[in-house]
Amino acid sequence: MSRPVKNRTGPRQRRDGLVVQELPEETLVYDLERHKAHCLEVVAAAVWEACDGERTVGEIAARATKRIGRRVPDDAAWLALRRLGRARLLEAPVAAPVAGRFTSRRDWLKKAALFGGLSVLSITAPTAAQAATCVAQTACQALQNRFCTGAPCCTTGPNPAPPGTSCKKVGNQNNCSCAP
Amino acid sequence: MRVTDRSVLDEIVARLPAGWRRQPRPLVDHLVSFVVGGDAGAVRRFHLLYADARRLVRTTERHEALAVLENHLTQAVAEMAPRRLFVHAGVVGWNGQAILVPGASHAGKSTLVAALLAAGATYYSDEFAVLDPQGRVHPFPRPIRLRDAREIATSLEPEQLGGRRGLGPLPVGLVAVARYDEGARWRPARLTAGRAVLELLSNTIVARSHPAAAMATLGRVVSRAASFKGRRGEAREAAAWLLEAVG
Repeated sequence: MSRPVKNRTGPRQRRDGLVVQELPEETLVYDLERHKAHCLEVVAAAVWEACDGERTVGEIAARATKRIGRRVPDDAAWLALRRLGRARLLEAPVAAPVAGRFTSRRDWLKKAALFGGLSVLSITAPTAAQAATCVAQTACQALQNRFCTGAPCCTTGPNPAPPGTSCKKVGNQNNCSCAP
Repeated sequence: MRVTDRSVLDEIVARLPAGWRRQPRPLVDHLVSFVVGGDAGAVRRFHLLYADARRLVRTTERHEALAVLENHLTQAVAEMAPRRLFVHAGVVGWNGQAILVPGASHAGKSTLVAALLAAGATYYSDEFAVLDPQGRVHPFPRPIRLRDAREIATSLEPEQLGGRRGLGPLPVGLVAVARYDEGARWRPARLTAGRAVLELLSNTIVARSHPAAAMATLGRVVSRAASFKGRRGEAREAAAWLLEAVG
């Protein structure tokens, strides 16, 4: 006897190009294509896990409820899906319900704060050079030529240097400069 | 490391990362070449420094070439160490546990490390937290570099600041993301384990090249460490709080 074939298209979790690590309360996801790291709070993680491409939002909310042991309303699942889509953790972004469960951004944020556990925090992973010690442009320019450090110049701070520059001697100047 | 003039070897050895040793094998993972220049009669030749086939610097100033070499070697070790994860952070030991202060350059790590040493902590690093796969932190011994108001750096040994050097690996007891903000009061907020991993990952040298290994190691670090984030003003105030928090 063959099993009935489901022919529905619900939100589908993206699987390719991701590194996933479970923590006791959260899930960490690293996107190898975009070099972004995401931290999914408990509800967002449960919703993401339930996105198999076949479940409806209502079914996803029910599965998330079972997984975390506290009720996840449909509205919370919609919010989580919206955030997961924006983080590119779904195969395709999820369109909000036509009827409009949430009328404004403020409404979205209020609901999210009420539910809790829906946050998807993202950072861009640094390149090796970005994570290295850098020299502030002001400090570099204060050094005499023979004391240039060769270290990368800081691209943040009060006097940021252009990306990809390092503190070195340039031309016949007396002091070091941040230059490519 | 190869050179065209043996006379520069002593200066190079003084700049090698701690724990270096002579390697008899002819095959290496990374080759750094120093073509020594200087005055040769009427001609002034450039000092040239290469990493594999890539030229790092071309300069008439030997000191500058050596400074570039030192930076490059530190960075290369941080990127290529096979069983260690390098996170940009200050580290001290206290009561058998390590306090990690991750942060970018100019976040005030060295100043906070100096204040922690003055309060009796042991010195592990003001530059890198060197983590093993179990999540323990190892010393990265180099002088502490403190900057003055003009951003000029001075190197000090930990003993000059009243501290001692840590020797063996330590488990991490506390992660504190403490950004300097003049006049701010240190009132940190607790970080969840996931958020703490993101803070550490954003200061990890190989975050992009080895994300799976990095996240696994950082996950072990935060699984047993309390993590906090806040803005700090006076380093002594934050240092006293951190030492009390780690117990």
